[in-house]
Amino acid sequence: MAHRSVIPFGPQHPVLPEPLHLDLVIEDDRVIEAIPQIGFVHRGLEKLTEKRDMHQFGYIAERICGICAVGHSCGYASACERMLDIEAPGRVQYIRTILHELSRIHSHLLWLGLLADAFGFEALFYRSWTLREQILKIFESTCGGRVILSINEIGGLKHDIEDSELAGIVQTLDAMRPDYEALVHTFLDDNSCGERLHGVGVISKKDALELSMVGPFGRASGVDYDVRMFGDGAYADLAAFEPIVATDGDCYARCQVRCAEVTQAMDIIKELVGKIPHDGIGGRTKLTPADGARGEVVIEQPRGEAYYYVRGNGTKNLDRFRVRTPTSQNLAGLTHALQGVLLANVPMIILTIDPCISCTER
Amino acid sequence: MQEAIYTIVGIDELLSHVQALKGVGARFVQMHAERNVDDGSYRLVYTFINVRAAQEHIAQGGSYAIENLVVEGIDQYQEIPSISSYYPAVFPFENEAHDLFGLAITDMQIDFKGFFYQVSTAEPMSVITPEVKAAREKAMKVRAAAEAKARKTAAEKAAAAAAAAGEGAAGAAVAQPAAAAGSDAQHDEAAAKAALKAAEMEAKLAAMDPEKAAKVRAALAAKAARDKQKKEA
Repeated sequence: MAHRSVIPFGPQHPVLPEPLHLDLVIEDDRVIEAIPQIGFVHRGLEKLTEKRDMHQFGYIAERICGICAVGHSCGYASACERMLDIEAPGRVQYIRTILHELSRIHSHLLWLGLLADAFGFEALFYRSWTLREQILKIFESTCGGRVILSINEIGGLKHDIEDSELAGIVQTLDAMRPDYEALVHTFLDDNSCGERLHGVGVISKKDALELSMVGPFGRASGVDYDVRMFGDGAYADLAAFEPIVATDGDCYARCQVRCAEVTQAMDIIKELVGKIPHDGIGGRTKLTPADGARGEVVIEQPRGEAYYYVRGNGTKNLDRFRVRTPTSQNLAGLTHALQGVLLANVPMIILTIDPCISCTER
Repeated sequence: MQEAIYTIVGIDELLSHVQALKGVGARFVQMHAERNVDDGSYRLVYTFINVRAAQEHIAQGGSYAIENLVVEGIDQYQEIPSISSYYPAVFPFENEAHDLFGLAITDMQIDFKGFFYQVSTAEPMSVITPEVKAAREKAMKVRAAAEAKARKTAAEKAAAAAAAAGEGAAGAAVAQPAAAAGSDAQHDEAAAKAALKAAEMEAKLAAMDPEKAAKVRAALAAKAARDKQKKEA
């Protein structure tokens, strides 16, 4: 009879520097069940709306996560704008989208680096993060910060990004492309990478739909869903947008989807910079939401669909702020992906899901 | 463009609505709880998107819908059925509603029994702080004052219109109730102002150190007593 035991994984683990704990029930060398546990660093940010007014809270929303900061800031501002029934000018929506897509590139490059590091390919890790550094430099030169940009506010932007700076962003991205293609070639075609990724942690499309999986994790299993296809804001002006989907549902497919999404983000930025309108950058509006007024949006964060909800109560503070991050939605998929896999593959599978516990512990 | 739909459902109807949404292929987006500051009850919001229907609407030049099922007026100890048998991805949110709001959700597929989040205060999101309550009351008083002012302005306008018409006795008959309404409005406004001042003071006291707040309260009570004595004298 097989010997059954429980192995604790995390909350401190070399592969995943985030406080996620898993109880792995194993039989011999195979995982039978995985029970996730989070909540070690829950910050109660949603409760902080009681202390901080709507405008101040924008800075807190941005700090939910250091990788998805731009997305959180855009999502919060858009939800408040819906609640207050105001529309940000076209230029604001374009700049928000450009920054958000840049943030997608930096998030995916960061992830690729971590993946390479996890299977011991250090040179690939350095190359991924060297490319990522260029995106952080774009942030620094246009907004003054490398991670927290603080450019968004309810109703507009704090400052404009000049057309010349936007053209510079496109130039930088164009210059990055050959290096990026070489990097992708190594990730997708190198034997040592493929052996660690092919056929590992497979989730079928049926299971992915059943588990409401989002982002590259879901799209790698054939789920044809990306919030950007709804055409909100500047995405409406794109000539075409098709979600990037793979069908194998394994770690390799997740890597494939993210690699292609970086190129797609570069194309989106180039197209939007070419079309950007000049109708001003809006500005802070002194508006108090009506008691019970609600606003909600979904946006496509680098890790998948994120949901933002705000509810006013007639004061300058919100009655309720809610953010549902992609990782919280993918926890069910995570437990499913780990069932039946070899213990040695657990770190790789967890990494390809790209969990962000910081987002989840808002 | 996006459109939000809110459908209020009873606790006993929740599962049938969720089953219907699942039947038409709607994606589960999220679930969250809210505390109603006015009556202390809770509200649960379940969000779904029917991606196929959304794409069809967008193709026809329409907007896509975010569908919300809202369960209102929930008591803290009332049992709410879990929807995890239809949408397994809900388990973190149901455990969260239990740990942070103290809501009793039954039959969760993965139930952490109150240990999903490690919190130093039990059910922290269910706590309504004095500051929140005072700010809420202040907002209500401000609204009442604004409404009283609007009533007064309307009454004054009506009186002025009647006087300008110069319709003699008939005009005077119209002006009398208008003037009476104006006097009522002035009284309302004075009361609302006093209430607003009291609410502001209460908000300041709530934010103070408790010992200092007690001293200020005692000083205010003594001043009120002195004023009363002076009036009587």
